[in-house]
Amino acid sequence: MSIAFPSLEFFKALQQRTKDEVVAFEKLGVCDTTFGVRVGDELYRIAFEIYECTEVDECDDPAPLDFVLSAPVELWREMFQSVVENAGADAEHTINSLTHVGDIMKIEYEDPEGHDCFYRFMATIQAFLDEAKHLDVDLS
Amino acid sequence: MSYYGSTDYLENSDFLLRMKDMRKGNLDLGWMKAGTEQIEVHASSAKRGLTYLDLNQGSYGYDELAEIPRGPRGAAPRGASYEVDNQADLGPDLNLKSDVWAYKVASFYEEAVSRQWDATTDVPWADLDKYDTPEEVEIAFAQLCTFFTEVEMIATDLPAKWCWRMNNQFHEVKGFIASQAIDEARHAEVFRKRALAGGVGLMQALPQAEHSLKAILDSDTYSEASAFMHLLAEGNILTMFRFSEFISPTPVDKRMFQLVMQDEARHVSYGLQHLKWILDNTPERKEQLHAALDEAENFSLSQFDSALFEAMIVLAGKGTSPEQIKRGIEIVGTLQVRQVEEYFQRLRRAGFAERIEKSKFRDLLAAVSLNQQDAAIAS
Ligand SMILES: [Fe+2]
Ligand SMILES: [Fe+2]
Repeated sequence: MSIAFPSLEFFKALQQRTKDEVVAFEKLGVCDTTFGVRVGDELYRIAFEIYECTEVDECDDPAPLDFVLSAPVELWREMFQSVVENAGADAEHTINSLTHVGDIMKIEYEDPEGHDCFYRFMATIQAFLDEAKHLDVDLS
Repeated sequence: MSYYGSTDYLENSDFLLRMKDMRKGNLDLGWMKAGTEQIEVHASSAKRGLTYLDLNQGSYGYDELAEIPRGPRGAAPRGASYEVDNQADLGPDLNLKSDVWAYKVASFYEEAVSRQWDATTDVPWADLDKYDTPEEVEIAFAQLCTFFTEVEMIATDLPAKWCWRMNNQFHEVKGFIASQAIDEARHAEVFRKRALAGGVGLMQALPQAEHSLKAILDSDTYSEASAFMHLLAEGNILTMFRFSEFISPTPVDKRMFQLVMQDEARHVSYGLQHLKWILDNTPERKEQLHAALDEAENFSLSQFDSALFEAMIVLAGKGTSPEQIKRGIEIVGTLQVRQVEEYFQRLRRAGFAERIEKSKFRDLLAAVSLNQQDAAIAS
């Protein structure tokens, strides 16, 4: 049965993938950051510790988060569609590309140190989102 | 050789006698009572392993390290016993904690060691042949890679230049900048490989970049060099890596930039935390840093008139037609504004907001901006 997007279940499934793909995530190195994914009005808190995603939940307050990736639900759908179709985000849909010009996807942050975590752990965060390629996800 | 021993050991009868004595089993064993501190250390996380943070205790730790440590000036590791009168004084230039220290530096070191990658195998080089990149775009990309190769070679030299000048009591910082040196060596490697693997090869070395890099290398103090390189120059390069990932002609290049970006962000974070440490602990150094950043900003601006700037426009516009160039100028203009904004944010975070008022970027960016700020160009 497919997993609906957006949903907490979807992000929990991505979390599980970091445990299933432990070798790949260990190869990328330690990743200690807690960030947010804002899909439309919904905010998900995603915590990474050492090599894996340790917690995923819904939250209201972005203040304690290092940064928040924020975009309308349509853009997230388009991004994950690209991940599913190309076995990983294509050139136009990497998180760096989407956040770089034109604020298609916004990086919200209060503290530049938190913002720098986005870059310091970029490969791990991209790999985390790319794990959607292994999920049966309903993007309709 | 320039440093000769004070003793010719094979001619020294005391030494020879003692050596013979030891071989007979007459050991001194005084070293077994070094009188150093004994502590219990454990990995706070078995999965993470035993880190420098776990060793941060008592005389072995860094929290208790004073601004003037008054410790050894040789190779005695922090926490070891040493002979004050008999040490080999290595003459370190950087003996104050605030000369080199940064908040979180031990974490940055651990992160650096854990997140190493390999330019030979972690970039899918074989895939480059799958993509058909327009010739002029590939040439512009090779120019960009040439610039990055130049920058990364000097970024390797800079930490290496200062590492041995630091007192060995600051080993966490020395370890971190040693990790930076290998990061930068890998960056020089990956950009060289990319320029050649694309078939174009290396393009023009840029005098503007080289003068700027020389200014970094010739900084009078480590903190000046760090403010110039870690905070300003690498901050700019980090934004350029983001831009480069964005305009990358192939997924192979995207991968390359995602990997270099991570290292660069760590170097920038160290620079921010070192500046913050200086301002919190030795605010009297502000004027010196202002003077260094005045010239650092001046050199940074020189990049705006170079083959690099043109190559970025061609890459952003994906070609050299008038329409493509127009589009490229818009995107590169946005990048430059963002470079300055992010630099100002870091200054604020480090507690150096007053620098923003003095920054040359405020007026000069408006003067060279090719987008919405054209009206500000002086006639
Ligand atoms: Fe670098
Ligand atoms: Fe760097």
